[in-house]
This record gives sequence, C-alpha cells and structure tokens, in this order.
Amino acid sequence: MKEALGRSILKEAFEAAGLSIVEDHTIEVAGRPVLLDGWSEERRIGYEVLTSEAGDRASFPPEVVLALEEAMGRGELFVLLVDLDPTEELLRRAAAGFLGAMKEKGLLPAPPTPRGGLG
Amino acid sequence: MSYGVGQFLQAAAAQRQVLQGELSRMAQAATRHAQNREVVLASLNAARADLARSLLPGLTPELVAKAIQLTGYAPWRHQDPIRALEGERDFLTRRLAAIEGEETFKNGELLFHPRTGSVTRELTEVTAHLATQQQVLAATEAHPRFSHLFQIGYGTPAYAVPFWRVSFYDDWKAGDEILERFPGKTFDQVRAAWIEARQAATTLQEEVLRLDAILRQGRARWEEHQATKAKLAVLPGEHLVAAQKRLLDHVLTSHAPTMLAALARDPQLPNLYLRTTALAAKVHYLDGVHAELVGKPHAAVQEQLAKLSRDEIKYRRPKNAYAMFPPETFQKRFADRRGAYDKRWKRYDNTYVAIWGFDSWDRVPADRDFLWWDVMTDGQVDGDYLPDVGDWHRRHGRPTYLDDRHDRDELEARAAAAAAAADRDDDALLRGHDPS
Repeated sequence: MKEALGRSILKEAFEAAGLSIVEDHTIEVAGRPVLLDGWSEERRIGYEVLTSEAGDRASFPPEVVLALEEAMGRGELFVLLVDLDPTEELLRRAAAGFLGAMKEKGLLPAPPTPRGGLG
Repeated sequence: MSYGVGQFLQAAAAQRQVLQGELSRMAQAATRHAQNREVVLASLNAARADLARSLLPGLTPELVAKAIQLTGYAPWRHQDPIRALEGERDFLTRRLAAIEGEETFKNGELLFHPRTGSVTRELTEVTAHLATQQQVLAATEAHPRFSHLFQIGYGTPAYAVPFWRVSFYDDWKAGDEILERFPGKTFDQVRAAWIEARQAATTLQEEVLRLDAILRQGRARWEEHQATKAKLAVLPGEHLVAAQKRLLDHVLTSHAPTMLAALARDPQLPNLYLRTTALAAKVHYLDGVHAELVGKPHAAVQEQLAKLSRDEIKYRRPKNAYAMFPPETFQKRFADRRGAYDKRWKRYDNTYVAIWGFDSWDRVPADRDFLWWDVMTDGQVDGDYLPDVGDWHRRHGRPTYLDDRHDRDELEARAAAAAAAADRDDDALLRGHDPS
C-alpha cells in the first residue's frame, strides 16, 4: 500500500473522531525528538507508519519504538503504529479499533452538541 | 551423327522405365525372400527341437550318460546336470518348508485376507482414524496465518501484541477467519484440538506404516510361496530344456564329420543332425545369395536412377537446349541392359532354387569334410562371393567328393529343372518346392 494513501486514510479517520491532526509533527520521547506522521498535541494521540514502501524508517530504530511503547504503557501518549504493510480494509479496521479504545479510555473529545442542547 | 537433347531425354525416359521395372522386380524378390526365410526358420527350429529331444529325451543318469557317450560333451563329466537340478530343487523345497513354518504364513488367511484379515481390518480402521485427525489439521493449517498465530500464542495469556499496533488487528481478523471453521470454539480450544490432532496423527501415521509393512511382508511371503511352488513344478522341464540347449550348442559347433561319425552310433541321430545343420546353412545361404544378387544391384539401380534424374533436369534447362552428344557416349550410356539384368536374375533364380529346394540331407560324404553349399548345388553353382564358401574353397579346393557319386543323371536332371524353373514366373518358381 502506498504510504501517502495510508496517511490519508489515518488522518481522515482520526479527524472524524474529533482529533485535530498536525502532520509531520515532532515530539520528544525519552529525551529524543521523534517525527510522527500525524499528531494531536491536545490529546497526545497520533499515528505513525513504521513500514514504508522503502522499508523501516531510519528515524525509528527499535529503541525509539520501545521508548514509544513504554510511554504508551504508562498512558502518557498513544500512537497507532503501522507495523506491517496493510490493505486499505485492514488499516481502516485498525484505526477504528484503536480509536474505539481511546474512546473507552475517555481520551477522545465529546461529540459536538446542538446549540440548543440535547433537548 | 550426334544426338540432340530431345533424343537424350527420350532415351532417358526409356531407361528410367527399365530401371524402375528392375526395382519393382527386386522388391518382389525381397518380399518372397522374407517369406521363404520364415518358412525355413520354422523348419530349422523344429529340426533343432527334434535333434535336442533325441540327444537327451530326459534327465536321468542313464540318458545323460548316453548323451555324453554319443556327443563327447565333456563339461557334464564334472558338472552333472541332474545334480544341478536336484540342488535347486532342494533349495526351493527347503525354502517352501521354511515359509510354511512361519506363524504369519500359517495364519495368513486370518491375518492378511483382503477383506476379513485382522491386520487388513486394523489398517483400515487406523487409516480412517488418521483421516479424521488430518481433517482437523487441514481445517486449521489451510489458513496461511494459523502457524504464525500458533507461534505467537494468539488466544492465550502469552499473546503480547498491544492494541496500538496494526498487526494486532491483522491477527484478530485471521483468528476470526479460523474460528469460523470451528463454530462455538475459542481459539484456545482450536489450538488444543490442533495439538491433539497433530500428536494423534503422528502416532497413527506410524501405526499405518507398521501395519502396512506387516501386510506387505505377509503378501510377499504368500506370493513367494506361490512362485516357489510354481517354480518347483516346472523345474525339471526347465533344466531339461537348458541341458538340451547346451548339448545342442556343443553338437552344432563341433567338427561336423567327427560329430557325424560319433552320432552314427544311434541310427536315428545322423539324419536329424544333418537336417538341422543343412537348414541352418540354408537360411545363411539364402540370405547371402539375396544380399549379393539382389541387395547390391538394388543400390546400383537406385544410384543410376538418381543420376538419370539429375541429367534430365540439367538438359531441360534452356541454356542446354542445343547440347549435342557424341554417338559413342550416347550409345554406351543408353545401351539396352535388359539382357544383362535377365542374366543376373536367371543366376539368382538358379542358385536360390537349388538351395531352397534342397532336402536330401543324407547326400553327404560319410568319410570326409564337406560344405553344405557344394552338397546343395552339386558343386555346379559358384558361391565364392559368400565369405565362408570362398574361404572353404580356398582351403579345400573345389569339391571332388561329388565326383565319387554315381548319380550324375539325377544331378543333371536337377540342374535342368532349376534352369527351366528360372524361365518361369518368379512366384511359381520360388513357391514350387517344399523346403522341409
């Protein structure tokens, strides 16, 4: 799958869940700068395509992935890691599953309500 | 007066017709020769069998001793053919007894019967059970990711892929696809069923191999028993035929006058011996005569026809339209060769008929070496183009023993008959004699 298409699918899904996504955003993890494909600074939720058409990115050596996953284990941030070459269907399914988990944790913004209240 | 191209082409057409006629006649002669050869070969085989039976009618000490005495066959003085027969018979009898003593052979019917044998039925049951286990294995292993899920502990507490990895959702999807084949089961239960089926299949496979080996060994013993019994039944006949063949080879390759004198102690044998050697010589001579007087000219006629074709093409070209041929060259090239051809055919027919029609096996000199060619042709036909005939005549000179005969009238009558036959139709010529 083309990396650009994958990023587009993820951005669309994350924004549909109410997240404001900034692409190619750098965060700091374990004292190291990490460039992510998509990031919501407000919710500290993002996504990263680890496997590209050209193979693993040089900026994501195993120790960085490990540091990211440790941070996620502590609940400091959450990044959907695309660790294989997915089909479109699998990527949409993974995005939905990941965002569903975020919702369960109460990390997603509430959906907008009508101006006059829910009625 | 020189000849022009038109006359050349006309003469070439006439010559082509003559040559094609020759080829056709040669083809007919070849067909007849092949048929005649089969007839003589059949007679030769019958003669060999008759001689063999007369030399050694059976494998008894008396008959073997008589055969040795008559033929001087030395190897049997040290290698008794009866002992060889008894040795093999002993071996086979002991083998038969050993097989019949085996418990599995004694109970062969109970164990190995194709439908009711206990081993057969056990094998059928185990095979069916194995098939059931293999179905479970096939249902899981048919999914390309089953092996991966099994290895990473999917469906167990050991599964460690977190939800933030896309591969977590890929595993989930594959797991669901596998579970669709096992309604109502969890992946852990499927995993346990697979482990059980794999272990059972391994054990059952070994059992199938074990039972199959027992069954095959049982059947092999039964087949060996049948074959040994059958071999024992035909053994005396086989040894007799083999002994007769060895004796016959010895008799037919020994010095003929010496062997003839030795065989004369049994009044029946000389004629059988002479008939066999004469028929063998007849096949050889007929082949040789045909090859020399039909086979070789056949190649020459084909070459002439090819040259004729090349020249016809050449002189039909416009640039050669006015070519002229000197009379001596032209006449030499297109001389009528039918007379020469007829002469050769007459020679072929005379020779062939003299040999084909010969059946007087006893017309050989009793006291000296002889050549069947000379006997068959009464020394009247040149056969030195056959290597063995030419060689004989170089070593022994022309046959003189024929002069001792007092049946010149008969000899001349045969020569005259052969010459007359040559003038008749080929078919009648070559079919009017009984070869045997």
